[in-house]
Amino acid sequence: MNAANGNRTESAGTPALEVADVSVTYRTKRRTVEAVRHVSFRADAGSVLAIVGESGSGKSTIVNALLGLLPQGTDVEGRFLLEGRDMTHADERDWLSVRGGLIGFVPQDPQSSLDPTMRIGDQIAEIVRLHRGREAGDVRAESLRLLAEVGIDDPGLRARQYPHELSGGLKQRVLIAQALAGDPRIIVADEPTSALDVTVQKVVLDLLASLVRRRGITLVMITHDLAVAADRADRILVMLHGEAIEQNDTATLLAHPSRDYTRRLLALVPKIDNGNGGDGAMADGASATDGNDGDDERTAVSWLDVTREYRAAVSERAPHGVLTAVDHVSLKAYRGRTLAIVGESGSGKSTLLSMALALNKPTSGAVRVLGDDLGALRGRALRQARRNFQLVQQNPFDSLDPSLTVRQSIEEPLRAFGYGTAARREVRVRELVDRVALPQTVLKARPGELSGGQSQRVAIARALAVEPQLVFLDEPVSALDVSVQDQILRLLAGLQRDLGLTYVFVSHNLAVVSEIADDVAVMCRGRLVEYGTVERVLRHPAEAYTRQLLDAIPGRG
Amino acid sequence: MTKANLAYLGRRLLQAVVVLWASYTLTFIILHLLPSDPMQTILQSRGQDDASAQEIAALAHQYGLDRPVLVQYAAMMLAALHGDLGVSYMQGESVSGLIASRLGMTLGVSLLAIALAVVVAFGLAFLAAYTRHPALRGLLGFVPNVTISVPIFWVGLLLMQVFSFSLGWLPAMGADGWETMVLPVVTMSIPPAALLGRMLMNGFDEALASPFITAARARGLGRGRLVLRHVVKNGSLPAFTVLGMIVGSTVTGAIVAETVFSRQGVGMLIQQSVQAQDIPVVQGCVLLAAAAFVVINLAVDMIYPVFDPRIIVRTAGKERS
Amino acid sequence: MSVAETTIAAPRAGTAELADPSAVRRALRRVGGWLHASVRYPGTLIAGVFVALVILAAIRPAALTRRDPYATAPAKMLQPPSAEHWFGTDQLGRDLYSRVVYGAQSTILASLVSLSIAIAVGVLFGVIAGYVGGATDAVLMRLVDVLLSIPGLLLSITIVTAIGFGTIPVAVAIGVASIPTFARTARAQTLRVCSSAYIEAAIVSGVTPAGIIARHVLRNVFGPVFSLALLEFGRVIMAVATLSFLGFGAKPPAAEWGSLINEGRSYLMTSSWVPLLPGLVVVLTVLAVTVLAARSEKELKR
Repeated sequence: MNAANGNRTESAGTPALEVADVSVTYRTKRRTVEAVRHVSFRADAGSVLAIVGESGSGKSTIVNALLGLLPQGTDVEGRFLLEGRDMTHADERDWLSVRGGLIGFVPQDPQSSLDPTMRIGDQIAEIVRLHRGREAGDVRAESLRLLAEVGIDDPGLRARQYPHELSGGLKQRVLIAQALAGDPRIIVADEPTSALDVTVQKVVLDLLASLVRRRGITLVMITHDLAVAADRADRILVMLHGEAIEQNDTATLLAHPSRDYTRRLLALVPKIDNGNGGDGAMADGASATDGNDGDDERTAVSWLDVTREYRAAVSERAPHGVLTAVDHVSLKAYRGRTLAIVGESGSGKSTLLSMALALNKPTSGAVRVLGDDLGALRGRALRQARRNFQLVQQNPFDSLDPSLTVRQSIEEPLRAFGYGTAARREVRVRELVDRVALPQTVLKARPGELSGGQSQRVAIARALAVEPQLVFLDEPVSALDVSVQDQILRLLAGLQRDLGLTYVFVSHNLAVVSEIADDVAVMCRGRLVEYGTVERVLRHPAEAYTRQLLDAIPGRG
Repeated sequence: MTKANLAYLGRRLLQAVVVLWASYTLTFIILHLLPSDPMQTILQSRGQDDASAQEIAALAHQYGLDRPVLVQYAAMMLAALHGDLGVSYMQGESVSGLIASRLGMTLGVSLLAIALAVVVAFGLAFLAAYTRHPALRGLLGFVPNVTISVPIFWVGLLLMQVFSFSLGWLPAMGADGWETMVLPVVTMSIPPAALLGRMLMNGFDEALASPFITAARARGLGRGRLVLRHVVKNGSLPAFTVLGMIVGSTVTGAIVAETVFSRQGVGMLIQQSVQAQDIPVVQGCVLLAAAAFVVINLAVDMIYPVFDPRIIVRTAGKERS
Repeated sequence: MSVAETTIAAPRAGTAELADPSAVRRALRRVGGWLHASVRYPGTLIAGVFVALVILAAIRPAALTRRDPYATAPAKMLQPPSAEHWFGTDQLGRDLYSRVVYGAQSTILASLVSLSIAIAVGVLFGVIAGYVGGATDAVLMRLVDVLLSIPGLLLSITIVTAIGFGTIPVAVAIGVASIPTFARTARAQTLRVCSSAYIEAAIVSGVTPAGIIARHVLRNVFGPVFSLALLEFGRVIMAVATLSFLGFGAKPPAAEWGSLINEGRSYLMTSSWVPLLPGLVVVLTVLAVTVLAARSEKELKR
């Protein structure tokens, strides 16, 4: 956690950013929405302010207000000043003189924030030319300099490339370079890293921090992740439902939160040190494959030297046009325990899962689930075998058929497996809805009417319908708001206890994993890098990659 | 040119050839395999309803209809590649000759119509994107949607009534002088203008709402530069896909317009030949239209990567897997 | 998109759950929505009334006119619109209005036949191609693409050259030419549905492929296909009228809209109502259908 950095000057006089009792109300044809209510805060020159809030907290409205991007017909009350300039009721022309030059913006999604039809260099040059003059030679030199400043290798080459040729992390750096192009005094960064892998996140945040220090810029960072704020900001402002419910300098806020909501958010910042697993009964020291290919009753799933290859366009990851998604992985999941498979995007963890679900066939090797060799089963036999293992998916809004009611969705596996009469199925469906702590009224609803947390509970109910012994979970909480994540994880843990379930859990988030897993397997680029119990791997990681992953997790400082 | 670019062009060229071949085959199947008795058709075209068996056999031989179907198929294809599109049933003239004599007139009007349509469509779309008044934007958006629903034979007649008969500004029929071209050009430009206008407006709207435009605005780009450089470039991309269709609708437009304004172009030729069931002429004209369609699509495929460099990678990946 | 945890309504105590009471309620809500929309959007209401009238004319022309569309009266030829003859009379003294009313029959019939052909074949090809994928997809879509190798209305004109003229041949010709649009949309929608997580969930839940198509694919594909059908209806009406204008439709004295306009062409200078008024009816019909289609698309999207 950062306290004030010695390089920056203490503020004397005008704060860089001042927001005084600002309320923003959207007026549309249908209704009025008070997005932001009586919010006040300030950021001193050269400091880092983090605005923390979940979706709907009003943080995006604040961002739009600070850049003058609020839609027409929006009421703004109160005052906000940028370096002493009152911009509350500024018109477009005033904003044009301020945007880019005084206040810069780093947008959220690197995938879609660059013009796909224009070369990188031209896109930076455009901003440079706009703010700093028109001499061709200068503009080009400055663009390249900016690219180098944000740590991009071979700026000359990158400048000639198009956005689709760059990785997410590189694109994010380009966005930062564009924000710097106008030499602004204030930068607003909207969720600058949520779309990135955790190791890339750390690198980008480090970059922002060093730039801010070097240039004395005031950084306003919007994030939903209190851990990131805790790591990087001097002051934190917590928003909820359009109100600024708490703000303080970081150290004070973390030590003495004054509001319940803040306390809840704090409780969710993962602490890796307690490796709370599930209720596994296995002694520590179980190895990935226990040295034998044969399964005993303890084994729920075994992947035996499994490889999955795909044909793909020749690239760095796929020399000779073959992409090896999973590379000779041997792994076991034991009954009654929770195995977490962790890795970043492209690690092969999801492919491992889909092979165990018989949705995907390995190119070589075998997968056995509860004694059955999945490769040998077909048609009816395979469908029958599926009764024993079910799936909870990542995206709660896509995992339920929008044209079916909740009842129909939960009932589907019951019908498919010929579970009794309609009356018995009805009883079972109601029972399941109770188990996942949802009201019976939810049965009539359609997925579109449910929240993320509710939908995920329905998906869990559906997965439990045919009484499987094994449940696979593919990033089951990563698409949910932080406060809901915890509820779902606790529900899952409770269900495992009550029903004696085995879980195989895929995640990119080591912090979440430490909460409910017993064993963890770390994957990187198709290979199994490390395996062991959660306590061992997270506290004494043996491999460099695992250490890298752990280090990148925000909030551990 | 990079290897990927060449591969892309090669693929598109191959596709174009295949489509051309498909259009010939389809035309052949419809026109030669569907009709029950081609001899009857020929005789009717010529008005020779009662002919002796000898005369019928002679005609059949003359038109090559006594050969097996596959031979006819191959022979006609080879001939077409040499520019010989057969002989008309009705008058016995060379189809290529018939078309060639009328092509100039149709081409002139068609090209002008398309040019007018492009100008109008871009103008409308640009105005709609640039203006700050939502009322004006709504009104402009209304225009393409309405005009797409209006059949051009009616518009042509209406224009003729107003500008030729009532106001007397322009001649109603005939083909000499540029005055006779005005009404047909305007009439024919309406469907492509409506189609392009709608695609462009939607494209511009989507581009305006996309995150990189918001990001660009946040960096200080003003409306004018923003709209011109980014919105127009990105927003026009979807409209490219429609250019081929524009050719198609222009052919239909030519048929209707030439019928309405009594112009002896290829359009009128098609209408008369269909009426008389003069199959070789219909086939020749359709092949010509299909060829134009293919050529335009190919040209679009060549130019598109200049505007959207992603397409080369995208289609390469798709073809590989 | 999502509502707070508390907004699901409480149940009425003690009600036994019926088979699916929400279906009835939903249907009612939708009808209510339509009514509400027509009040809020007067344009939609007018369009709806107009289309209803046209359909009425197609089903029961006698309801809208008492005159005989084929009765000639040479003495009354080419009279301008009046209280007695709303659209005036044509070159044979026939009441033009009743000819237009009776003409609706063949035009609407032809349009419906076209749409049916296009939907039946197109959706079949598209769903199979999208679901099975692989070689089947490639073959089916290539077949469909062959239909696209002849641009625009030319394909329909070619077909009509071969099979003859008249209302039904025109309908078939336009129907065949409209297959690719439906095939492509059905395929795209099927691909979208099949890549959704809930299809994976259904497979894992043990549903058979037939069950997946019937239960998930068709239900979710139906909406967009229906929207497309409404939009295409307007375009098809225009195509039918165009082909009949060019002389490929029913032979006189049949009262098809397009041929009415074609016959009346020669009288444009002196009696412009003869070709222009029927043409106006075509324009208004297509416009009305398009307005309804656009409105329903917006409602379905909500």
